[in-house]
Amino acid sequence: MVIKSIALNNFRQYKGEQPPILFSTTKDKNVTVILGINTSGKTTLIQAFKWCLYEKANFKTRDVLNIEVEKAMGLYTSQEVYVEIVLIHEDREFTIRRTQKFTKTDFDKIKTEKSVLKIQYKEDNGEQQAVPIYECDNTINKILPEALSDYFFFDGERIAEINNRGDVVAAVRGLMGLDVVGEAKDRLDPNKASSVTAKFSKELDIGSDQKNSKLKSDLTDAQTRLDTLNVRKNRVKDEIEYYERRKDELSAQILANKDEKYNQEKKLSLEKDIAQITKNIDNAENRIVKDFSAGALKYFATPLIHRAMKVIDEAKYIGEGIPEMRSAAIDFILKRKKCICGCDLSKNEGARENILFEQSLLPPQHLGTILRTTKDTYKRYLKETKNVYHTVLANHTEYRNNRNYLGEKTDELKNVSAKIQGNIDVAKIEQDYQKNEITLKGKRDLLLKISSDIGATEKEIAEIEKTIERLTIVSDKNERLRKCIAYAKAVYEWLKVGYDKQEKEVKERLLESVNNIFEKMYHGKRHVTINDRYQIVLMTLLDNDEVKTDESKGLEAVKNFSFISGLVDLARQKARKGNGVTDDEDIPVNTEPYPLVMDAPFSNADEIHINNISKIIPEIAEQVILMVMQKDWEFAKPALENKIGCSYSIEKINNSDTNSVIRRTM
Amino acid sequence: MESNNYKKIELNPDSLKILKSRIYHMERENHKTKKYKDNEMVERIRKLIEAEVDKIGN
Repeated sequence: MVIKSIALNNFRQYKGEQPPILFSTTKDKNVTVILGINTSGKTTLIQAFKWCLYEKANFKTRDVLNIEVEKAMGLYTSQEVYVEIVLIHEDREFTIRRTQKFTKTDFDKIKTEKSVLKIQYKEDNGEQQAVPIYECDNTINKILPEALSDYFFFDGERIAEINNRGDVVAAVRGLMGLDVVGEAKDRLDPNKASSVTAKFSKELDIGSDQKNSKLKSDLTDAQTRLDTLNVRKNRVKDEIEYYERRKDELSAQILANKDEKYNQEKKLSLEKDIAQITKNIDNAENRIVKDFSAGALKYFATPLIHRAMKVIDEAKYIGEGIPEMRSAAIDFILKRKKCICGCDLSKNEGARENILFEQSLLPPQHLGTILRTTKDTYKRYLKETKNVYHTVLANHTEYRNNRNYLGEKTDELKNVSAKIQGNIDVAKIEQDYQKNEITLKGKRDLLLKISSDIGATEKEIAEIEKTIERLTIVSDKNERLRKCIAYAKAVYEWLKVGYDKQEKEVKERLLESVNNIFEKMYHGKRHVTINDRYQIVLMTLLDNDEVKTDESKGLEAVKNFSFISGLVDLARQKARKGNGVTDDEDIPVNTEPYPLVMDAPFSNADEIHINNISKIIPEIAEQVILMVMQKDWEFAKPALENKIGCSYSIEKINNSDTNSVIRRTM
Repeated sequence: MESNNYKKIELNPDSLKILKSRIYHMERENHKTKKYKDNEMVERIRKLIEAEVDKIGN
């Protein structure tokens, strides 16, 4: 497939009918360059290819109609969007046009009709023939299957995703025609109940004996069971692939967020500390209030108490009266004329006088007792206030220290929080990683079990087949069936051997191609390897050990570019070598060339890598169409200049994002 | 009735080559066009083999 031209009408930024962009199709100058600034419409061009061929476009808004045209539409008027590609495939010129009609049915409503795909091709005599509408999608699929299109029309800004896509394995197999061999092999597989071989076997006449008939149903059961086991095995393999990819993603996230993890843990620890400090401050505050309320009055009265005690000590009236005795109590005793000891005071004058003397020692007659009692109270006060100062001081010190500590921790938390990017929860990622590991182990164990069951079932089938062979009655019908089975098995073996051999070769050739291209662009110590999922990994030699290495954005771009180029190179090798499943019996050669249409191929690459990539570009495909940023072109131009057949420049009309034109510059 | 009287089947190399080529082409064509379903393809291959066996005779 070589693309001759593309023409756009009202497609996104390209307002009105644009003159066709003609691409270089010559071998020595196989590069077409389209230069443009940001938002001028470079990506739109690559989307135009995909929209025309597959009705797929990766725009944020669904409509492909130019906004200015849409706004200018009058009520009940219609506008058309079309993209027309002219290409050569298998020496035949195809004109592929997709058209979509838009009608304004209300002031703010546009009716979008289903797009229509039309394909015409030139007969050898030059006459144009139309491909029937129902055959159009199939025709496109024959020219370039949609599953492979992303590898030939690709967006450099999304190049990082290209090697991690889930369908890489299918794409590589599809590209190399292995999927065709795989399907053919499955249809002849003697172990599959629905295969050609199994159908022949079922028709063999082994007699009408009930035991013999049961053999056939046992065989069908075992084959059906085997089919189910193989389906399960493939499903589990896919699941393992998914969980392995997930493991890599999570590992990368954990690694990339190593600092984030430290900061998140630090943040958690600081938040815990702050909560504890705040609690300590509250406790200290409560204790200060409680102790102050209880002892402050007495504490602040201490100087006064000392002075009062001094006065009391200096007084001569320190009483000897009976403590707590009151003069009124003595009056009562005298009035009743009977002492508390039982003595009759009316008859014992001496006793009465003694009581009167005791009364004279009591207040109000004598202050001494009051003073003594007061002094005792003061002493108690002084004892109680002895620790008030130190307790309050200790609590206050704790309060102040905690306050300072809180300030420091709060500042630290603020700094750590500022360093934490977005809402990535690394602990959650690690938790997911552990869960993923458990699931992965479970799936691997399951795969082992299924593989073992498959082995046992295959053995069972082989034994039943042997028995059936032994029981087969000699007849012309059986002889014919045995021949059919023998041919079916021989073709199956040929396909199986070819498939396994080809897959191994494909991987080796892809690895070789990718490494060759990688080495031309990168001159360091790293090289690439390919894993079972056809994903490429950068490796370096460290102390005689191959280790996975980190990659810069630029190096990642080179790595992924090598992968794309390796795939295209593989396709070209296939074209040269043919599609055959074995060397000795090659199936006719497919010599179809391949285009490579790239938007922003130098995205994320630095000056040196741009230059290195540019040197390789013309070699990797028969036709190369590049949409390049003006700033990147300065570095790419010296290496590409001699290979350019056509060049174009995208210009924004009046600096508008909704109206661009493409002008030929060479 | 059991039988072990069958001769070992000798495959005709030309017929085998024809079958390999035709089956592969048939599959490749259908892979592009998706015209026939799985069971239809099985039936087509089966007929192809039977026709080739009948052609060379029992």
